[in-house]
Amino acid sequence: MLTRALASSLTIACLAPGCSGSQEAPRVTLAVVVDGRGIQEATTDLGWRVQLASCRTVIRDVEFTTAGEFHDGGTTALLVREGLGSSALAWLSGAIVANARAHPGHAAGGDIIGELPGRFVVDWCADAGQSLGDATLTVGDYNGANFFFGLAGENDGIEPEDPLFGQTTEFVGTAVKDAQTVAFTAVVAQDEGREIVGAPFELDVTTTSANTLGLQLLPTDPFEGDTVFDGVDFAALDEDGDGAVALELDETTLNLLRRALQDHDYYLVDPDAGG
Amino acid sequence: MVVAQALLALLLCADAPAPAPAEDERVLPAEDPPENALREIAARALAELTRADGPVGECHDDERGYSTIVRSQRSPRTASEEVIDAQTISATPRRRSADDLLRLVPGVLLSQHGAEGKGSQLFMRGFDAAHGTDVEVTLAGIPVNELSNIHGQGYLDLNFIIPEVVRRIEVQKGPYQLEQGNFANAGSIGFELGVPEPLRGTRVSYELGSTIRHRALLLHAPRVWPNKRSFMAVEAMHDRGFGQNRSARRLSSMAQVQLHKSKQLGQFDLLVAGYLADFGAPGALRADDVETGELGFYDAYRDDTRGASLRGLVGLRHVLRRGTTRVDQLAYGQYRYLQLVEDFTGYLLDPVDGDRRLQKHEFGGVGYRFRVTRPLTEGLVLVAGFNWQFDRVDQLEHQVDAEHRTVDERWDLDIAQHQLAALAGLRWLPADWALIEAGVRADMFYYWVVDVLGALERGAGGPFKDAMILPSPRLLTRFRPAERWSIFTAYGRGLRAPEARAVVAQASSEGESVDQYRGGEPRITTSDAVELGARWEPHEVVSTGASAFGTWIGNELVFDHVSGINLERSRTRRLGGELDVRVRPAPWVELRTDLTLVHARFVESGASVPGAPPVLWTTSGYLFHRAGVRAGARLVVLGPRPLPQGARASGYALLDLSAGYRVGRLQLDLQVDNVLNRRWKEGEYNYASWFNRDDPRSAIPALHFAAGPPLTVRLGATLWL
Repeated sequence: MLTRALASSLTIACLAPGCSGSQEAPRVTLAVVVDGRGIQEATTDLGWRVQLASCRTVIRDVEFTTAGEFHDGGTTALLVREGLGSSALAWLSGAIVANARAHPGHAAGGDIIGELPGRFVVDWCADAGQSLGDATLTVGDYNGANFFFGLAGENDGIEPEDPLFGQTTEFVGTAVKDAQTVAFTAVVAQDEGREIVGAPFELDVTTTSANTLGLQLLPTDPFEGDTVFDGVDFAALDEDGDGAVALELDETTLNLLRRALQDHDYYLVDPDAGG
Repeated sequence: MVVAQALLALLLCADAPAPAPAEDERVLPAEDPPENALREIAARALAELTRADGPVGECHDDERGYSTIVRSQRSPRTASEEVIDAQTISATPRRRSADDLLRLVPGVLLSQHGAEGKGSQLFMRGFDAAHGTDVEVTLAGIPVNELSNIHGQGYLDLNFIIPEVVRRIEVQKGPYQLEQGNFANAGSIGFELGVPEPLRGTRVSYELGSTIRHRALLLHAPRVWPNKRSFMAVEAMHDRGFGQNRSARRLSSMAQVQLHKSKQLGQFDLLVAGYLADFGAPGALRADDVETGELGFYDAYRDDTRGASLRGLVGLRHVLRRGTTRVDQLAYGQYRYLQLVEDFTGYLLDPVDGDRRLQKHEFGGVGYRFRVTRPLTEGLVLVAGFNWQFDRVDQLEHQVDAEHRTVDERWDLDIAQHQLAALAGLRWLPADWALIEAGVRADMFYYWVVDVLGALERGAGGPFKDAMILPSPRLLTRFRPAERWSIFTAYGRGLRAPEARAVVAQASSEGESVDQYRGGEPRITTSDAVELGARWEPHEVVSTGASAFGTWIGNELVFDHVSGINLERSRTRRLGGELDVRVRPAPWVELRTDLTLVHARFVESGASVPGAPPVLWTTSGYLFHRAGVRAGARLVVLGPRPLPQGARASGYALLDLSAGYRVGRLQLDLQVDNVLNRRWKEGEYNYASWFNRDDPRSAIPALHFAAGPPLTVRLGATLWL
């Protein structure tokens, strides 16, 4: 860069007084698809094995982020904070214990450098492989993805009689524990514009990248082992014992689901969805 | 040496009036001779420290009001130390304000994305110092950087300094000297005020510029005043600017007077300054909007975004010599108000009300600086002192709509902050050819912050308190192995205090502990810097210097204003070199060229540090003829610069000229900026914006730029009364 800059400077000085050309960051276009591979049976903390038959979510504006230069450790300079003693301890502690890294994808350190604009009703189970469009990504090292929730409406192709209408997510599935099986449905509304920030997405995008990006819902958090349905006692909700429940009718359960679905760990962008 | 210079000057121009002693306080005055052996030792040591660079006396026609100028400059203690004198300042092109005078500093790049009145963005030694984050600036010893400014940490606004009363600019690159404190990671720049003998008198000036610029100046600095640093000046300026929303106006006044001088009590100097300004804030344009013709090169998206600035400053300096001991005290106080309404992103964040941002920053501060210099033994001088400054700050930031009504309150802080520094060191001159200076300073910061919005919205408004301290060792050497050679080495630790907002950084985000974010707690950012250099003066008219430097930052703390979380940026290192050649073929001609090369990288990723110019090359020539003619030319060549996320800013070459002629009581001045009338991008940025809502919204960064001025002409007339 330095040699090139020096050469450019000499050229500027000798041949072309004024401005030399600016240069936008190189961009590539990558296909984004719904990736159903994330939909696997989940075992909740209460022991229920949950299998989803249908799961639809209204999302919009997928953004791809880089942690940039805010993510590595390595403190070498002596710091003194509130006295030399505590500083020395802090420094020693930092030297012995591995430093945590800034979480990619947050507004802090999560610069958006790629995007797939648009509004989508995604069926994580049925639409596997369906194209959401072509995303534009600036060349760079990606660490996260964001997207916004929406409320389904007629503009999304959702009719008023559809259970998803006016909602964000609809689940249909079964929960099995021991010999008991409960069929369930659930509809969950999020605030319009509520954002998922920091879904894992690891890819070093270069000008020759041709990856297909797969957007996944993960009923089980791959990092912590938690599930979307943790805390939901399907049997207790099946008060009439008919083996079918509508989870949203119980406010506590609805809030559990709403909060769980706001957690970025239940989403993933797989950079190799094209195989 | 000063006396010798004066004699030399007299020989060169026998009919000129005798020169006044150089006004550098580091120079021992002739009327204060050594009285005993210890004092002689001290005199020798101090004289060595203040040795002038060479025969630089010159003459001007006394009838035209010029007299001998003795350009006294103490020997540099580091390879990159530099002093820019009043004569150069008076002839330099583009001297609209003191901000512009920073362009005289080799290796410094300025970028203005507002109008004249807003602080410029500074780049130096591989640092994008933003509005002053990593460059320490003082005025007559008074810190100008604003700790915890809502617009940017260390914000610098130099527009209140009237250029005609700047008698010297002292530049110390890197954090190598004991005096250098908070923000001096890239270096320190000191403005010293006064009116040198040839330019003293009472004068009125009027300047008319092609941008419909009117500037009037009244400067009163009578020769009969005993202290040549004394003056009174008032400046008024109005400028429509070279493009949309770039108008600016200001009223500035400065006075520096010697209140008292006696051998018993020492010398008391009073500095008073007042400043009032408002200015447009055009922001930056998307490059694609200009390329498609939607906007002109000098247009702006908004016509309602503006800034206002107010400052009152008073300083009282006391210098006392007792035997060989020199005591220097400075007490000061200032009031400051800054208000900005800006919009850099259009409707990206708020598609309905827009992203205009109102920032208000108001503070009152008092400070005190104490220095003592005392010879301990032959060739050994003790330097010690301390600084203290207390600021009471009231700051807020709101999102506002087109009528500037509040849409969202983001920050409202009440801050009390203390800055305290103690320093001690030794200057040792073991021989005539050697200087070793070593010492340590300890900088302490204390914050007391009330989060008004936090109290209202979350019942958690504090007060939040934090204190931190950092020791900074400094070491430098200078050797003269041969008569015309000087070799320099230096090491120093630089520092930047966190802003007060970092103290109230959110304790958690989305239910997660802030502990997982490295840099979660506010702390002082440090840099470790080294420099090796040499100066060679093969002939009395030629001087050339070269230096290599390196700066390493391991734990830069950045407060993210969006998330309210402190972040730690990855480690960086800046390696570079500087080369300068100065030629003075005649006493009235000076030519110089300065080349700065910097390789600034993040250590782990190897990515370039955004914004930092890898190549900056400045060539200038000055002429100060006894016939009353002055002229200056400066060619600046900036290489392409890396921008965030892989974008690249353009380079440019820019030529500015100035000329002046004084006959009798009348002086005419001409300044021509951008002589070749090139379209150049003074500032370039890579970020997302959405101004035209008919276009699809995109959050991907795009190139933006702030246009540099086109060909601009200013014609000035000065009448000496």
